[in-house]
Amino acid sequence: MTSITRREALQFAAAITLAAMRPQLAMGMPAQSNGYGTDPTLLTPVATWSRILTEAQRALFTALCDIVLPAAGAHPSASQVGVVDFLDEWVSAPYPAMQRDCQLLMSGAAELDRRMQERYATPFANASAVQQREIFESLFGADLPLRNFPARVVNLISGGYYTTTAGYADMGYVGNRAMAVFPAPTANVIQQIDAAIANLAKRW
Amino acid sequence: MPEIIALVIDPGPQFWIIEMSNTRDEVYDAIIVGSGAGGSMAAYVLTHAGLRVLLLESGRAYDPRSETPMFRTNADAPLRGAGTTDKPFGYFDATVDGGWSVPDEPYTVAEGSTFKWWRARMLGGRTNHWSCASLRFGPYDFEEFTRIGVGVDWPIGYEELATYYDRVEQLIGVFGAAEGIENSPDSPPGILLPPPEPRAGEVFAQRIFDQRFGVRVVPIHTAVLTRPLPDRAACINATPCMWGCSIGAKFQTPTSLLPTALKTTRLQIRTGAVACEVTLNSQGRASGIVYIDRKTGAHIRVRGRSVVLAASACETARLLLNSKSAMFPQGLANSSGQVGRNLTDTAATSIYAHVPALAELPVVNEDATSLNHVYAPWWGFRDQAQGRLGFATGYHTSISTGRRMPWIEDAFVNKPGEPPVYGAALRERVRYSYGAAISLASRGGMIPNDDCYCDLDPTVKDRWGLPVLRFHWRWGPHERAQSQHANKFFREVIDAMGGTVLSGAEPGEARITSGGEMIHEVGTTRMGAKPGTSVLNQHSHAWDVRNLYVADGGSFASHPDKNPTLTILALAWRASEHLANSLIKREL
Repeated sequence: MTSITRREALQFAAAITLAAMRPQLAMGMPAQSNGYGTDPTLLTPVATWSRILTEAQRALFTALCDIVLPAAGAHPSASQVGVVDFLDEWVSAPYPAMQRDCQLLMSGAAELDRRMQERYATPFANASAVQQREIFESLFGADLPLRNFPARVVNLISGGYYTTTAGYADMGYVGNRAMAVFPAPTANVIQQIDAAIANLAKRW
Repeated sequence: MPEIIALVIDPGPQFWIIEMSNTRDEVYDAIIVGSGAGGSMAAYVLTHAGLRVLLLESGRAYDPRSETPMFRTNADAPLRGAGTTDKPFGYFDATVDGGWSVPDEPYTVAEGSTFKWWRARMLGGRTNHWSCASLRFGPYDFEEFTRIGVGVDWPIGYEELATYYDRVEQLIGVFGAAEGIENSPDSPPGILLPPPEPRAGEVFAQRIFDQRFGVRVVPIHTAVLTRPLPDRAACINATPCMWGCSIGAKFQTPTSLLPTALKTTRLQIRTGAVACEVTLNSQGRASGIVYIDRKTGAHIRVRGRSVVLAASACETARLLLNSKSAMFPQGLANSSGQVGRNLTDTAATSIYAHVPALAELPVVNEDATSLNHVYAPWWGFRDQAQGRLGFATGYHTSISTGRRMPWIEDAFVNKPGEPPVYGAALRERVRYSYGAAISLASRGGMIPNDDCYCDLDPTVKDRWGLPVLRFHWRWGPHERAQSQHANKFFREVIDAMGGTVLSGAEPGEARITSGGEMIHEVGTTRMGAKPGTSVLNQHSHAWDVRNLYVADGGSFASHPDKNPTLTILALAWRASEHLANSLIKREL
């Protein structure tokens, strides 16, 4: 999952160049035309843009992913199922909504590092999980422009995680398998429903 | 592509006309514009009547059998399949070169209006991603003016369309049940396919609606096969219908009507053919179409004994308005001034809630058809008759719940600006939220009003220099009151379920969708009993031009709460039968 392919290595090299151009995009330049277009191939999907996160930023988001969703029992952590790659793809995308997120996540990440350095003299990625949680929570309730950062970055990590097979297993999605016939709820389930409704009906 | 053999100048339009070698001498019995529901139904009926048909589709060829991302998940798509400006309904949505905007084919919205126009540029049009709800209009829906004094009556009644509904349901495959609902007609025995079983959460909702409110929740009618038909497999209960269906279980015209029509060998289809003018002969009859070849930009003329427009209600209105001539200076078939007027869309409002009892149901595979299996038909006729509701149109309730394939948004459980839950608490929150989720949405009728219409923008043109549509929109008092009612009712339902409403406006501020947002736009070339106030007669041909038919939703004279596609198909069948008879009898 985490081994880097040749294609990704090339994308990474390209990203370094792109990252230097980023401030222009942030100033409201029109969206780049390197999106996947209005008729992408659906059978072999590919993100058409280069990823922009630096190694240092990827390290920070790896750490953040794993305090937001650390491994728990049989469930892997967010970084173990490729959520850092997903975040990189997301903040690098040429679409307006993702570019707004890019601004927010870049500013938020920089602020996490700044606060960690100020308090513990270490980059966010290298700090202990306790220190990372403390600094992350220090941003809760922050003023604009970072007010939305904590909830948004958690939502994106969560969204990246719960669209994977591992996320499905955790949240309780067991579909995407052919079934000749969709079965009716069992008698036990109907009993459970009736009991729940009988209970609710007391308040009606 | 046919070989180009000649270049001539047509005295009428301002562009070059290129004659095609294999079409120069061919006069088709009918030329159809558009391969969505209406156009494909017309192609099916006309070719089966022995007539030769040319169908023009402005988008590209599209084959669901080889292009549908069956069994993929959103993790397979860029950005986890999230919607973007390129693909607003997500990466895998079965919409090609379309969405709320189409490259180089703009539209405008008048100041003070909001309107959204969903288009697709592909064979099969919007049938590829539609959600298949197939509800018959009822007898009341054809006589709104007589019954309740709003809108207009249709020139036909339910009885005249019933047999076409029967035939359409049998041909395309619709599941559902006969429930004896007021103004939601039952199909005769043996027509509908058996409905799928409801999900557990749908049973829960059904019992709450019934026991607490006396409102019936019944199997919805849906164009998905629960039994196989020739060349089409039954649903395998996996993969979202909105992504298309490679096995043909979902009704899309490229896997149903079009292959059947092609088998007659009397249908030709040209894709990438953007119709830009309906041509006339000296007697004022339609003589064919001029279209633009999307690849080369060439303007090509094709000839027919008749023309059937099924480009979608608004695109058909635009084509008529752009087909100006000395005989029709205000646009073709527009002596009434009604082309583009009477534009309506479904009025919808929704709330999203969490219900603890749903989260406690066992984890099972609930993909099923991917669509809702039940709904609540409109139930307020008696209250309306007694003047207690303050709005004339009804709404049906769409009930969405169950453990279906998650979208990225399903895991966005933290609100912007608030301290987020994370770690173990986040896992708990997502599990609960996913299991507990339910949304209730109204799908409401609309009364046509003078503020809702489309006309040609005086300055903006598309990539080929053709004037584009400008939309004007304002919901009327009926739709606003109806949405308030729905919002209040839905809150009471969630309360009875012991749930918590998470989104949906506060009481008194029910948000109605933007005009066009429900993608049910109809009415722009409505049929009527008199030529002065309608564009089409009861057979869906133009009052002004006898061999010009409309087979899309433009012909609707009212907009009840039922989704329009089944009625588009039934009307297209009826219109095409009339056209076929007229052609065969040489009346045209």
